[in-house]
Amino acid sequence: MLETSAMVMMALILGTIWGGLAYFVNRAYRREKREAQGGSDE
Amino acid sequence: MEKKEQFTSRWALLLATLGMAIGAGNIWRFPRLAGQYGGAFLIPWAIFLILWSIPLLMVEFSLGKETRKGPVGAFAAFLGKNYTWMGGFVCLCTSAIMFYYSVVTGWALKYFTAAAVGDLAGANHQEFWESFIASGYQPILFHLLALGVAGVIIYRGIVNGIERANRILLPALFVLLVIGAARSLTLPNAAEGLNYFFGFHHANIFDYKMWLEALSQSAWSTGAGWGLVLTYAVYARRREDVTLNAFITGFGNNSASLFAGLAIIPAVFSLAPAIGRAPLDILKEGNEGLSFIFIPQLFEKLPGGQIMSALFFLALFFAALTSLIAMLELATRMFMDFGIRRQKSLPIVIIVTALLGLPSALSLKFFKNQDWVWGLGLIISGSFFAFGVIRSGVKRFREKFLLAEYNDLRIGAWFDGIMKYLIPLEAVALLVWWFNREWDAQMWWNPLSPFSLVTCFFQWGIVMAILILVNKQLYRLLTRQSV
Repeated sequence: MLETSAMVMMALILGTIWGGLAYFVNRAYRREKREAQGGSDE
Repeated sequence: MEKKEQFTSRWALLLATLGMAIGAGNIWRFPRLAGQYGGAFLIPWAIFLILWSIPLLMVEFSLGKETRKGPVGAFAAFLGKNYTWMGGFVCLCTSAIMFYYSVVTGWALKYFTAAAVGDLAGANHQEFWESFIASGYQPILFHLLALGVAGVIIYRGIVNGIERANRILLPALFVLLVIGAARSLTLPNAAEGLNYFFGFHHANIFDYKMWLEALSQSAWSTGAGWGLVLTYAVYARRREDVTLNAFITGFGNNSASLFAGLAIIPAVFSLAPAIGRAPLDILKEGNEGLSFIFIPQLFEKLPGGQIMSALFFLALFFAALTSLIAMLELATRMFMDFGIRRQKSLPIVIIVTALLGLPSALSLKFFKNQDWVWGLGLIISGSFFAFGVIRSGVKRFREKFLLAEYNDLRIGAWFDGIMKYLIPLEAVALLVWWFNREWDAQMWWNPLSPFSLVTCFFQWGIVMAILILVNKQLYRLLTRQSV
């Protein structure tokens, strides 16, 4: 049985690290999409 | 002059930097430390991602993209010719790690093949490991095989080699880790492992050793300060983002560590009683002990355990291989900056690595000595990057590189404080603590003792002295046409 404190910590750590990664990747994806629509930056 | 190579997209660069960062340390060191200290470990581990790794990753991305040279050339171009030796130290420190890392990659390959063909089934795993290491020819053979695979990839260049390999290896590694985590979490009593992995043990949060272990894990696992991200950034697009890419690399690396922890810790807690051992005793075994002796022994207790063992060692091999590729590219880039073409530089690097990896393949004592000396050397490498930024003016650096319009994230003054004060402080604390931890009143002076104080200073001293002596010649080599 999962203890409450472990559940809270799991939500905190996985939320921060996996959530953070998802947020940053999404931001990069949106930027790339925007730039592709506006033309290459090279 | 050859056309400059370049990653075809941001995602290709990110896959390569993630492949570099996610290595054996994520799979065999992180679960061991997280298992020892419990959930409290995860707090400093996440904090040091921001206080050490990501700022240094941003510096590396910036210098590689700006100078278009590997560490030796980048330090010379950024700080002036008198500091070429510092880039040389970064390069040689990471290369020294590469010599034995190729051996570790070979171990993973050996164990993957052994698990896949069923050699591990029913074996006495302690004896299997010891006879493999003592056989002499086998660790050498697999060291050369691993080096050969990485060498073929590098030979094909950035797009056809490194980019293509990482497009396959990195997603495959994540899939393997997810499969491992899913299997581990569905075992009986897996919750007990989760309670320990994420359980907050109040006593530990004030344990300074845990904080330093977390710092060392963050410093080594993300590859910050190794010069590897700098090397890949040489091939970044001209207007490539620096800041957001550093965050994705750091968070992606730590995400992989969490998957590895979820794959290993619940499995250890669930299966340890079946082999008559306490889970914490198993997690306190060294890296090699946990991976090569206990993991196959534990997985054997599962239905389809042979497949689980094979998948685990395949994940370990992929993780180690993508990091080995980055290290080989760093050494190759150094020769390319001296004007030697990739196709000529690579054989030199491969031959030197094959030869200098032999002592580690033949002797675990030598391997552990090198891991100790050059693992700690990385803290010095990281400090050199911080020194470079401080010397050039932290605020000026931030305004020029981190606030440039091509960056998606705006980096505030917090970066200045971390670079100026925290990173030097962290580096000193880590070195002092590490030396203190391994202090041996009888053997500290002996350069031949594997973990002595003097063996570190002796080996670093030789490398630094030679580099300082040949600083001018190194700089002159760099002024030849880079390819």
